Amino acid sequence: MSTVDKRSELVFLYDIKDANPNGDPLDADKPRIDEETGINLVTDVRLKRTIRDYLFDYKDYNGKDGKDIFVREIKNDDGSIQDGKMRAKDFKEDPEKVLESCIDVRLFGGVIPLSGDSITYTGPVQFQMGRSLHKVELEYIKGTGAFASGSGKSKKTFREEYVVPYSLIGFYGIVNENAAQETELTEEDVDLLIEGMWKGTKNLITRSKIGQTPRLLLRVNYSEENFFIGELKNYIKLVSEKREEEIRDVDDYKLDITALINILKSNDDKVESVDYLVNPRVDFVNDGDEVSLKDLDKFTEIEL
Amino acid sequence: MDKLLLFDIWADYAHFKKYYTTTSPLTFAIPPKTTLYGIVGAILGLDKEEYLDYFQDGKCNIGIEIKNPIKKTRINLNLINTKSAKLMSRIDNRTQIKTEYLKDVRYRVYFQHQDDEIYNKLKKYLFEHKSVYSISLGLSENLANFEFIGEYEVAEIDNNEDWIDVASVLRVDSDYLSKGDIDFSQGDREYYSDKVALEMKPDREVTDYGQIIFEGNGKSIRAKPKKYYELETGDKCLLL
Repeated sequence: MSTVDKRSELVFLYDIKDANPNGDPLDADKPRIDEETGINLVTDVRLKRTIRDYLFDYKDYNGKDGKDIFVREIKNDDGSIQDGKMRAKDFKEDPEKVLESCIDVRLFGGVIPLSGDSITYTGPVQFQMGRSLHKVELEYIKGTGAFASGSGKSKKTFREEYVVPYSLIGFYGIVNENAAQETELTEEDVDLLIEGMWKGTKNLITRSKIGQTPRLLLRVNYSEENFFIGELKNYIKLVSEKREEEIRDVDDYKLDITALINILKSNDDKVESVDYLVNPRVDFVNDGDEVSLKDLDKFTEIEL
Repeated sequence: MDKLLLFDIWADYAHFKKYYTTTSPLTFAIPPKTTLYGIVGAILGLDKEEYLDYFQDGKCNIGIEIKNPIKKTRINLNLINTKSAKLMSRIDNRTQIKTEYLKDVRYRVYFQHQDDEIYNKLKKYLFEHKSVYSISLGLSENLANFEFIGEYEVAEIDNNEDWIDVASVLRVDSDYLSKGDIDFSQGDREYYSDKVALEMKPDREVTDYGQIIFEGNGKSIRAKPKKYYELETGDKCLLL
């Protein structure tokens, strides 16, 4: 396993229909909206939660065989041994061990409390707050719940919630090879990160997240030391004949990647390769013409 | 004739936590000078435990110009309640914190450093758009980007007695400028004031706080400082 030694930038787009991508706990659990612009927000920690839960549930990072997730819900623990005091003590005395077993600390960093002091690892992988690529409108849904609100009542309770009819959410992230040295982040970890973003998003099958579909993931790898383009997500534009609030499906728009292709071209000597994952229903446009990612120079599809 | 570097830095969101807010984090409108030390340190790849060594004893002068109107918003964060979480990471329950963020910020930074090595390396990295560590404005999720504007010759003007239009934020508790030297009568201006950290020892003890006046939309402020800096472009600024 080799430590990550090249800078890369990530763009991740996924969509959601008639559900709630990230509720605001202090505002009736409504989807988060930037009121000034009508843009739907998803916090970076929501995405990190998705990745952590996927690695915990499906990739054996569950505390056995030296593979673990540092930041996790206690309710996920399936045995008494794992959350035992002894193990916590093991961790406490040896931050190296936390780093060695916990993939999420290697990816996102963390604060490891020691007696009287703590060690802070800066995460090599960081994400910006996610934002929808178009304006959304909230929808208020009322329905009948399955249960009564209390014992002895004959009527079922009402339930109410806010959802977004449709939202295509974009995340921008960066993988920093210098910070990777500190946490000993490996290429294999980054492969798992990408798998966690893609499959983890699909695998959220709770009521509020079901139907989330990953649409595009790009990883731009740089050959030039310390160079990065920055804000890669902003080079992708959503174009639609419909009003932005009326978009309801991936068929309703195309993704214009003209600016992205241009900026990659103008930095051709510094960009080593572009790895991608794409959902077959997404249409791309370059300079007015339909284009397929596999025909682009340096683009390689990731195998999951 | 001295020189200085000009670069812009921006992000979707920013949060520069006010040191006197604990449970409901509020943000300053501008990055404190010490925050910019950290950002420059990250670009240059200085170790987070050591970067402050390079910014001691007035070695570094920084001017800050507001390029985008200051907009604040609140985002409610669902954080881990570390009081009950083992190792601060095993989530027992959560705590919701209203956090104030700045939105769509963009600042122009005027940068001078007495150490030629630091100055020249920063110039090279800004020009080539390189950064050793990832840079962000205040919190890690506020990933930032930057653009090199250029290197300019700058003249220090002393014993000034004229009213001038200043592009940068102003420190009013200094010996070259006080509140009385600012013309608050311009109608289309919104004036704000913050007290921010300016200098910090390597052990992170703040040694200097400054009372800063700025215009909320990034417009210039008319003032009569005894000392200021004039760029070859004619722009006038104060350095903190």
